[in-house]
Amino acid sequence: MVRLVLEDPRGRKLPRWTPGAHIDVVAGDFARKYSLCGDPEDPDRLQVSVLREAAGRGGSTFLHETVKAGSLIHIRGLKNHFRLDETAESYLLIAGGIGITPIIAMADRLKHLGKDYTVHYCGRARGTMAFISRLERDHSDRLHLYPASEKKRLPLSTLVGKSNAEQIYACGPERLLDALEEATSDNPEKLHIEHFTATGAVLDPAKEIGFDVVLTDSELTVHVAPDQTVLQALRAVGADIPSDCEEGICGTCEVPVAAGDIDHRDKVLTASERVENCRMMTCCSRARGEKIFLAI
Amino acid sequence: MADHPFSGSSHLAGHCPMSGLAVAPNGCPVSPKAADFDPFESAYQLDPPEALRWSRDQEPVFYSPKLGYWVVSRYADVKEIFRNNQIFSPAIALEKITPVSQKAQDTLKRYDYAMNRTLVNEDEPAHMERRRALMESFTLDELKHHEPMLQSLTQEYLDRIIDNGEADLVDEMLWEIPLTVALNFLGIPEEDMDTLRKYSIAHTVNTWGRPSTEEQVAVAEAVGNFWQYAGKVLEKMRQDPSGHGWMKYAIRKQKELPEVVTDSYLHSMMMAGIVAAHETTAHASANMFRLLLENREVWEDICDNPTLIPNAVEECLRYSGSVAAWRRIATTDTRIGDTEIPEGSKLLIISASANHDDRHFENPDDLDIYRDNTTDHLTFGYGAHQCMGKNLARMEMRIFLEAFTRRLPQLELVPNQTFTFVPNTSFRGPEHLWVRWDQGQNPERRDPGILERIRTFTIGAPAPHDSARPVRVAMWQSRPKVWSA
Ligand code: HEM
Repeated sequence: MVRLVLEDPRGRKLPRWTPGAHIDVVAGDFARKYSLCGDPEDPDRLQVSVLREAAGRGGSTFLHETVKAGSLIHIRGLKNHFRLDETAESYLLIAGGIGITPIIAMADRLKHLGKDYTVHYCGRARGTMAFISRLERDHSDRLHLYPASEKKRLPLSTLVGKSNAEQIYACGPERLLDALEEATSDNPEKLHIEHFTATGAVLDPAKEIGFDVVLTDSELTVHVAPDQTVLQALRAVGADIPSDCEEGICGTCEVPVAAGDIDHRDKVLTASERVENCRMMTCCSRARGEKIFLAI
Repeated sequence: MADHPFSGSSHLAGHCPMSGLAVAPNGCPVSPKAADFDPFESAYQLDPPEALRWSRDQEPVFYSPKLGYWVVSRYADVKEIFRNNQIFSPAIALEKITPVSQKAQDTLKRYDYAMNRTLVNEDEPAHMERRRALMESFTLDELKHHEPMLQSLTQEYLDRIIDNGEADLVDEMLWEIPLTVALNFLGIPEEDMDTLRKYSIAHTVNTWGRPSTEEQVAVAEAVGNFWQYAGKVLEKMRQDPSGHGWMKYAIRKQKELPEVVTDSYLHSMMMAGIVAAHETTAHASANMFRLLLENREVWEDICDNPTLIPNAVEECLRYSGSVAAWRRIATTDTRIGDTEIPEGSKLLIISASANHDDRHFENPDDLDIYRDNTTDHLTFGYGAHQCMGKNLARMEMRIFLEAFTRRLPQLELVPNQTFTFVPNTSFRGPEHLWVRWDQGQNPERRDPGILERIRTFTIGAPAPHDSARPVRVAMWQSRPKVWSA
């Protein structure tokens, strides 16, 4: 794990941020998303924590092995797709592993606002879990730790079942978030999650089909070839679809779906959102059939 | 209020006897702030997003008795109204916000003036049939043909002023080039350009402002002359409609789809095309130079790294676009958020305010050329009517900015100038923009090679990698023992 503190090379101020915000660190041809932690009031610095992942894409290796103090790197953003709704009274904050970074920023903010909140944080062992001393210092009476090495397991369904928190914010590995989605399936609107891993897929034209995308607001039909993403096809006809990670985790390239059977391949939409079938991520998701309809 | 020019509007309700407050057409009382709102006053003229901050926070949809319009200020609402052009028809988009005097009407009649609905104010299904029939000229491949012409025009105009040390960028360049580009884009024959140029006078005050009767008549004279001359040019183009140019393309298309591309549309299209392409781009460019020169660090970043230009142009269109507001009319009883909107209500949707809505943009009042969702701005509208010329406008603005940052990086604003605006609801840009520079420092005096090192950009919206922000790693800590900071 490394902690990176970033500053403007010319000593300028960096953008202000709110809990849940992230930046993308650009490494070669791709960008990887990291939540901001640290002090949102510090206008000169941004801070991220990066876990080394063996199976991860080059991003973490790059930050661990190539980057040193003094290196110049590029970031994109910042943006917030995991915005804290400050109007509720009570909150459940759940983190797994490095997912603690946005959660700690939220805990700080909720404490500052005087809201009711608890933090539930699981990981392999205390020694590998970031920010424990900081959490103990600032949030001790709200903190619940679940290091697996101490045989402590996060009792998800009981926790969610018993809690009367109005909002749940969670960030961590896929299985944790999947389990949470299931545990909250009765009121999915309570749950706000942030994914960190993507099963990054490169298109294999031999396995893909071509299809038509009908743009209902612009009344245009665009063909998407097997070796093309919807995003690329839309851009080719001049549509301004913003995009970012282009690997289905950031949610920037979302478009509204009017109709059609979507093959969702992103990590942004929840299971219930997929069933609703009213949006898709154009950078990776495709059509199952010959035609889909987008409300743009 | 009774003698206010707009109080004759049919939507204006009487006073509520109990509260002393005016009542909006939906029966709700008008708040004091809403009653005060006047887009012709200086607060809105100087800074539209700031003038509507209260509305974004407290009353995102309100009725303005002074205007007889509903005003909409939040991003999500403005976008939804743009999107839904069945319920919110664009039919009033070009209506004169100040009624046309009889004298001006008579003047127009003398010229057989018969401007019809074009694209921007046409309803479905006619609009979309026409838009699709005429889209070809705006595809990225077609736009490429205009690039060399724009490069050389920009070079030529810059050559004229480069050794002067001072210039009014609006009068000496930014007003002129977009008009020439518009005429070229339409495919107007070279020999007719000067005449049409003479009659292409400012439509802004006439459509969205409060022109005096004399101004209305003067505009009517020019418009009448334009109309007649445009008819002759159209006939000439019909003789040989081959080659590039939107008008020529439309003439060819008419053979295929005579009911979609009608004679009347072709005649109207020439003037509508110039209005759409000229002042919008001229103002947007002037706003851009002003904004960037007021933010010196940003200007210097761009001089150091021209790859930032596409995103910088986009951020300027967001931050200080040339179209501040647009109009729609409700075709049925409907709602916007919690507000009931009766059929026939006229809406002024303030895209400049939407572009500064912190519900959509992080730190919206910061000019951040590294912002990566800046293309979400609504300065080009949205949906079925979204500006067809957006990629041409972007190309023009990028070429201007590229040329100035390369040839005059030392450019600065003349200090203490007062910027003036033509008072109106919609088109926004300074009437003059005085800049100065030390000619002795012109980089091309040392290195004439600069003149050749023109950078070009892919046509279209900025690509994601255009907005990457450089940062230095101030601290790199592996497995930090104390995670305390
Ligand atoms: C910075 C410059 C420009 C701005 C800010 C701008 C803005 C706009 C706006 C706000 C609309 C209405 C959008 C809506 O109702 O959703 C529009 C429509 C349009 N613009 Fe632009 N415009 C610019 C430049 C141009 C140029 C250079 C051209 C042409 C060569 C052009 C051609 C058009 C056309 C044809 C429409 C009508 C589209 C339709 O209704 O289907 N514009 N523009």
